[in-house]
Amino acid sequence: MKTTHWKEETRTQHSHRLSACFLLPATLLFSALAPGSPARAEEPLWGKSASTLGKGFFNVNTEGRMMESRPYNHHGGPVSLTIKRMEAGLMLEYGLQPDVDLSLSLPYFSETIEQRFNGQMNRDEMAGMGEMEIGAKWRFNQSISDSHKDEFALITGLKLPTGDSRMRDSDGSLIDPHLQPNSGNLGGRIGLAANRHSALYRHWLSVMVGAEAGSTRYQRGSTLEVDASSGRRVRRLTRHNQTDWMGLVGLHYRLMGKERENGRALSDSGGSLLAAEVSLLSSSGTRGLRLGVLFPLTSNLGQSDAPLKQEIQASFRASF
Amino acid sequence: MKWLTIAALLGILGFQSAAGAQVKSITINAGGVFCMSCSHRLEKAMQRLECADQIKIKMEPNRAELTPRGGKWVAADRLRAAVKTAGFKPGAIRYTIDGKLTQWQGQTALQLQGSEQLVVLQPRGEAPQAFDRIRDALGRGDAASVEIEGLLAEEKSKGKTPPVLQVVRAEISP
Repeated sequence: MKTTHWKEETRTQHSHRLSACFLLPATLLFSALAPGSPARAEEPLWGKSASTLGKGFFNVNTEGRMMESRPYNHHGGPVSLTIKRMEAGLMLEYGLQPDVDLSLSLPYFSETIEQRFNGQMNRDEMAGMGEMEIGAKWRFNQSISDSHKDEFALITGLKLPTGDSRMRDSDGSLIDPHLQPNSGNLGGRIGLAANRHSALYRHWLSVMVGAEAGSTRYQRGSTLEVDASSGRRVRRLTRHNQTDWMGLVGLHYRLMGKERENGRALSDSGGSLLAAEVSLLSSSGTRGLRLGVLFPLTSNLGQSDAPLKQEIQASFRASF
Repeated sequence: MKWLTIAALLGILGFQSAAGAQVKSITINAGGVFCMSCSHRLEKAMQRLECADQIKIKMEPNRAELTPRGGKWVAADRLRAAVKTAGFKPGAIRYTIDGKLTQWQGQTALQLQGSEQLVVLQPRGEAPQAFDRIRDALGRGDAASVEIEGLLAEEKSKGKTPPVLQVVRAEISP
């Protein structure tokens, strides 16, 4: 980290709480006010689904996400960092064919990096557009029986270098590239997703790998994401307009490779994380809402990466 | 008062149109509808059919019940395509139709009211008595109109050959 002007902790704590208290409800409100129509809400918040929309259908997905890291000594040094991040995202999906979907996601973030050293604290706040992603899903296999439906899909995504990747701290100095919210590089993801849906149960599994194009300034490490979730409906669906409630639990694994900064690998970057998810999904008539919490079970991250404390996500979906 | 009269006239016309409809309803089963959003997607897909007047989605088994606009016959292929487009598996199709008994190439048939559309009738294994009553009424020649509920027999529903319904229920009016 660059040289910073340290302030008394008590003088800045209040305003941070205010912004956190304001942003989460605002994000949830934004989600809840999205246009109401048939909603594809019965999907996990973390991980991918192999289901497609159907030809000519248009899906709008709004989501709010709050992530908080545990305090950690950055690079093993004396400065302790805590990163808090809020995201409000809009994802548009279109069913090009019965088994092909296209998607575009537009994230907006607000991030706070708190640095603590010798009882003093400095806070850097950043906000702006995140990294857009253009995606495509091809459901290459679907089998339907009276009791269940199985689906398999190939999913790809192209991450665009949108958003500011040269943000500055409160003193006007450039923040280290690996702490920047946006990398400024093109990236790609590819993976497979599988579902099994029955009258009472739903199961999802997805495996995605991702990599970024390199640059001399910074390059994120390659990633592997494995997501498995299972949901159980509270009541069977017997009426077209009944309220559907589903409880969901999941396990999510992330493996991250070494990052490269200024042409050299960050030896204390990368690692793995295994996290558990508990979510509640609901859809009633034309609206669908999802709320979930992700908390880490085991974490093996290097000292340049923020260890996750918890992540809360809410989402509202509507389709036309 | 003028608006009330117009509304009443429109209501009467609408009632007469429904009452005289030759195809009263069509039901198509849809496999793979396991959630509320699936159910609404099926409803939307059926609503996109221009020939559909009213749509009802029913569960267990999952099916869409359609009232065709003007009571006109809707080809099974269009219904199946709508279900497939929404990502589901089309199943059995059941028509409830009104018309006069006649014959087509020596087979018992029904000519839809006010239309040239013919539908060949066949017995259904589980309810042969309904078809027997139709055949008897055709032999006597005393049936003014017949309401038939029947399942579409898949293999003969294409081309110039009239669609074939396996009769499940019949109401014969003298």
